[in-house]
This record gives sequence, structure tokens and C-alpha cells, in this order.
Amino acid sequence: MDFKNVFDEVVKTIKDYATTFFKQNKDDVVNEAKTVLNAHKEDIKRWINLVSEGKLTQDDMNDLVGGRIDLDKMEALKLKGMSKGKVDRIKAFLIDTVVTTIFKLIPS
Amino acid sequence: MKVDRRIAVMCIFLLVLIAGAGCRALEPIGPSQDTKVKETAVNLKVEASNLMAKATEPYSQHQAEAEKFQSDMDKAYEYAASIPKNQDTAQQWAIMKDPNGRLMGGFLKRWKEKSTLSATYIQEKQRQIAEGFDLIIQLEASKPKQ
Repeated sequence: MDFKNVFDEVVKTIKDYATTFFKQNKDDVVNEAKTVLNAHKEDIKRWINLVSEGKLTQDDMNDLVGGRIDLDKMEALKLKGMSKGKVDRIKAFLIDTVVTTIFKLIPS
Repeated sequence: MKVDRRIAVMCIFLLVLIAGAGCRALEPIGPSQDTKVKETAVNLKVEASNLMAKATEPYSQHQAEAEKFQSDMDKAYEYAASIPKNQDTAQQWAIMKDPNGRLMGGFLKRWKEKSTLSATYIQEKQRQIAEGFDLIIQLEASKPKQ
């Protein structure tokens, strides 16, 4: 068992699932699954080896994959929050520019 | 550059008008950086790794420590949730502490249910938990300073 076998098998299963439940967005679902698998390729490869060596159980693997999904949710929240921070910095810059301009235009 | 006084007054009037009209839009949409949130996440990241390393031993031997850790995460969540416009950070804490999830809260629950956990699993889980705390720290660090 290697990463490619797992990748192909998961993609096949997702394709069947998406065909049944997401007819309109089937390709998006499959592409998203491929992106997620590729993004966590190193983790999955390591876990495959540990399962093969008998060091991780199916239950452990289930928990680790679930943990990876939870981390992806946290990452999404980080990116969402960071974009708000950027907008706030632009707003702060705008306020600062308005105030500076007003004072610059007042003849001393 | 010298500007005629009348033009200057008109410009000021216009700028104040624009600033006034945009006042609501200029309200920050996110919170400022909170040192307490960041410090808590840094401390709990270290404590989590140390506590997890003990999970090869029976949960009953470390129950008090595990329960205190869960309580510390609950407090961190409550604090983050009490800050206005801070829902992204609060949600991150909620995921981290959830006993039915797959991060630290879930780890503690699993340890309690199984009594001991394997060293290999713990090592893999430590990576994930550290990454989770890093995500909280990174979001906090990215917020504008007060």
C-alpha cells in the first residue's frame, strides 16, 4: 500500500459519492478532495507507513484524519480573521491620511 | 505649498463630510491584538505537549491535570468569546477544546476512555495539537495592535 493507491481509491470513492449527492458540482467536489489529499500528502504517507508497521490502529488513523480536518477548519478561520485585520489596517491608514491632510491644508 | 484660506476651508469641510459619512464604514471590522489570548495559547501549547507525553500512563494517574487543562481551555474560549468581533479566534478555541472533536479536547476524552494511548499515536497527535495552537497564535499576532 502506498500513497498513490490510497489517493486513487479515495478519489474513486469520492467521485461515486459526488455523482450521487452533488450532481451539479461533482467536479468541484472531486477537485477539492484531490487538493486536500495533496496538501496533506506527507502526513498521509507517514501514517500509511505507521499503519503498515502496526504502530497505528484504524481507530488512531480515523482520529488523525479527523484532526487534520479540524486543523483545516482552524486554518480557514485564521485566513478569514487575517483578511479582516488587513481591511482594518487600510481603514486606520485612511483615517490617518484624512487627519494628516486636514492639518497639512490649514495654513499656518 | 501655500493654499488660499478659502480653498483650505472648503477642503477641510469636504474631508470632514467624507469622514463623517464614512464613519460607520471606518469602524474596525475585527478586534485588536490581545496579549492575553496570545500568551494563553503559547503557554497551553507547551503544557499540552507535556501533558500528552504522559498519556502512555493510565489516565487515572493524571486525571486532575487533564481536567485542569480542559478547564483552562474552556476559560481561554470564554475569554476570546467575550471580546467583541472576535468570533474567528473564539471558534478556533471551540474547535481545539471540543471533547467530541479531534484536537486537544478530543484527545483528553480519548485518553480517559482508553486509559492509555500508544506512544506513536501520541507523537502524531502532538504535531497536530502544536499546529492548532500555532494557528491561534498566528491569527492573534496578525491583528492590528491597539
